Amino acid sequence: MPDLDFSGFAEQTRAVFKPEYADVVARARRRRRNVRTVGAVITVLALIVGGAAIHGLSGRPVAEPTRPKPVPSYIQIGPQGMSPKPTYTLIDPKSHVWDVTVPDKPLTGLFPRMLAGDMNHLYLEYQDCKGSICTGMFAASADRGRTWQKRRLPSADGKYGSLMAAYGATLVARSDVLGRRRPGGGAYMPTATYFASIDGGITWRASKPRVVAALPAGWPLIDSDPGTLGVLTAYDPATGDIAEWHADQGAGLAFTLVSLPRAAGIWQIRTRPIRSSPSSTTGTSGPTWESYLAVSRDGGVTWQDRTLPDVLSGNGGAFGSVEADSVVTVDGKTVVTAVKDGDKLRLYVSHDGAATWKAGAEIAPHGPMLSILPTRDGPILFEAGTSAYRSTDGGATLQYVGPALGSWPRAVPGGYAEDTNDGRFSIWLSTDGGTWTFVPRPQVP
Amino acid sequence: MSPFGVADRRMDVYLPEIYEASAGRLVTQLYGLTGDFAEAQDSVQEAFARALLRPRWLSDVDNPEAWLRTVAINIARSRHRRRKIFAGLVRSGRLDPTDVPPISPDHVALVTALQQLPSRVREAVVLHYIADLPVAEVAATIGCSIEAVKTRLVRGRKALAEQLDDAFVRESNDA
Repeated sequence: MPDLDFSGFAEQTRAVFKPEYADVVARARRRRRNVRTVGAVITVLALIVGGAAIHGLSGRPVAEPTRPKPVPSYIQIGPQGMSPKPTYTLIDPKSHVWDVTVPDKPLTGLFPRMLAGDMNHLYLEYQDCKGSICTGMFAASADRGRTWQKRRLPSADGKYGSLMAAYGATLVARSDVLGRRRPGGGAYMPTATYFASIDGGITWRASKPRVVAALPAGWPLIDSDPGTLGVLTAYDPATGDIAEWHADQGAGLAFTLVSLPRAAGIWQIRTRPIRSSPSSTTGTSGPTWESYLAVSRDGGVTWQDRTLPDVLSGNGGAFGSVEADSVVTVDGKTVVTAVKDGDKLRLYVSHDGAATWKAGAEIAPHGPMLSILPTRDGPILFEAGTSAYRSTDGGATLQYVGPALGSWPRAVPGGYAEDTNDGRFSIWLSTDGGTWTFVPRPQVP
Repeated sequence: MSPFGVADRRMDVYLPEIYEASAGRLVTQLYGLTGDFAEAQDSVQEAFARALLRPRWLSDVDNPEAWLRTVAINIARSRHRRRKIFAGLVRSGRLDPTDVPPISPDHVALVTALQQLPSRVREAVVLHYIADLPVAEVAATIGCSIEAVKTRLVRGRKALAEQLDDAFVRESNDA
């Protein structure tokens, strides 16, 4: 498998760039001349129409360069007051280490978030380090966080499995979720090993994936083995058995929305080339890309194309496509997404399974979009910046309901769960998506 | 003597140094984002030109390169939107009409594969792996949560590996 040689690409591209500071000066001169000309024209027009006030335009740029506003660091305002800012783990891209784990920290790794198997079964992965030697561990609770047991993660060939999914007391783990380095340099993704437990992680067995023509109904999806291409992976919530569905050869690039409930269907965001259009630079033709949704209700056998809001679907090859974790449905009929435009976020809602869309409420949250959660009972939870909003009219309006809880809210058996994202590694649980209870993490290691 | 008067004297000395240090890096990052080397150069040159016209803005920021990157990205985005609407308009003042710089085919393939990613994923990948920004700074730059950045990085790497492996297999079969 080819390496992702970002360093080499950067070095080579920098080497071929020819600095032209004189061109910068010339461009600045042209802009200033154009601005003065436009300003003069506007002044003349103002005189012609009777001198209506056009403030501040004469002699100033028509299109002001936008000074970037500082985006605030994320702060969670919780019941205990202001919480610590989130910290990030270090990564060294130059050495091709893809793992963002800080070696000696207990709560670390790419996804140090609590899994909710249901309203009572909770799991938090961590590591117990003695110097640089770390043991893969997880804490498990069967009583909604009142008591916790600490257990060792399964391992094979010296690599720990990382928790991938939970359904009640059934757990699925997978090793080799991270890249490995070749002896001669470079990195690759090895074939994964799956583990399953049906007793909350007390005992584990290897679970070899079985290739199927259709993923069984009711089997939740998990992220596929990173070393595979065009594969959907699901597990039996009763046994932890793994099934894989393989796409046809030549299938295009697709992002599967794995955190949606299976009852809603299997949803993907796909891109396809639309008509070729000549480049204004070279005159040669190249495809223009479009993003769209596809849904399967029979485990991958057949797929139906669905739309995205027009503002998102255009040209998925450059700027304009939607990100996979911002299209959400819990029942396959009400589908919600949000579009960022400058400082504003606007909801888009479909009530017919993404056949048609309607623009909904717009807010200016002064921060990133965090989560969207349409609930089974109808209201939509929406979090952005430091605030939580709720819509009870299908997304037409949003009402502020309190501080944001965190990110990644999702439906789980018995209700909904949402992780904190401020370094607390804790979780919020709710049976209806309206009233949420905070469950703090255990002390680890 | 500055062509822009006494008030810009400080920027006369300051900006060329920033340009020498940063322009190459910024062009590389914009090339990764746009897939068009000429567009990348254009956007970066325009960003510096705007900084030269507004020296006070640049002198007020802690990280001039980050500010210039944001301006260059906004310029590229704005041009992309206008290009869609006004197809056929010819842009003048291009430094180099060539879309593909003289770099190795593997690196061209990497840039091509980057263009297949959704924009949000591509931005995170470029800012982290090419611009070498820490995850938190990537989150602050593109306006999303740290968790979202991590998700995009994982998906981006996976998708790039799949794309490049697919191309690698095709080339091997054709050889």
